[in-house]
Amino acid sequence: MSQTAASQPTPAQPTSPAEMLAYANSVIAIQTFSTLVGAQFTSITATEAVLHVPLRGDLRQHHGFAHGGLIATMADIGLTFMGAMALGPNVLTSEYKINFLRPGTGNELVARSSVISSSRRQAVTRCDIFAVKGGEEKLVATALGTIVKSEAEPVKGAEMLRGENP
Amino acid sequence: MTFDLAAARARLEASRSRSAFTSFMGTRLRQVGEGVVEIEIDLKAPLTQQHGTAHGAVIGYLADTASAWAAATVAGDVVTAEYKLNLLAPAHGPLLWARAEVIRSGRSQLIVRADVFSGGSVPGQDQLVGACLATIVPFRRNSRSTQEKPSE
Repeated sequence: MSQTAASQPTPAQPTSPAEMLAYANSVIAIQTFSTLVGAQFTSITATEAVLHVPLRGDLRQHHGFAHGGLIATMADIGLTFMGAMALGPNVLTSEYKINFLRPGTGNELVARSSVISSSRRQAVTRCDIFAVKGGEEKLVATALGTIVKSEAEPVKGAEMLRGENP
Repeated sequence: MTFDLAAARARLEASRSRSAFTSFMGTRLRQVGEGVVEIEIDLKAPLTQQHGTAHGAVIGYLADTASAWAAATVAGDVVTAEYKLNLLAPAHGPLLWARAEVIRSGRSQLIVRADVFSGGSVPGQDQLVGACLATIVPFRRNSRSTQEKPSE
């Protein structure tokens, strides 16, 4: 399970789209792994989110294509944040499935996520990942996931994991 | 190569009548396009589970069949390699239908997305009950198995 939006320091409840975007990226900023790959939201609403990752050299595999793990990471982030938009900030990924459709080439990856269905405890979300080359987007992977509401407390020492001194 | 809609529909109708299970389920073809198919069935009592709504396997059947048929419109004879299905809500019927769309067609595999709906009682009030993502592969008859004669 990946823990995404669980129990973050909560800034004032975001009201405008700009505040929502800033809030989502503030959560990304304290997720060291998401920060490591350079993930950033460029838009996020109740139903759709767009996440960007510049395709650096160190994120590619031995053929020079985007590593599958990176594409899956983007899917996980996109799926989970959409789940959080439907269920509230304290959520976890229960499972997802991904199909890789083409090699990821170009200079940037874009993940576009949406909510398909949500109930009180779980949301089903979808994410398409595109490679951007010369300004043109090509679909490289698609994922379908289940996001669940979490009752788990954040692990002890999470502050330390985030690079803060408790 | 241009897409021959009439030929694709004829192929699907022929395969539908040859497939015993498809006939058993009472499957009807409601729409065919290039890489797109819609099918429907009536939710009969033997297809329900203990709560009176459609058995999950029936939703799986619709997602699987619609996905394979959508792939068949562009790739000919195919089989399903795998699919993943999210069951989203109880399906009350009386009509169940699925829409599948090929999102990537390659030489060795096709990736198909399918949505399953329940409805038929109030027009425009159909509910999404299943979301599926499938891998369909072209069926190439194994040359060895077709040449092999029974040993006895």
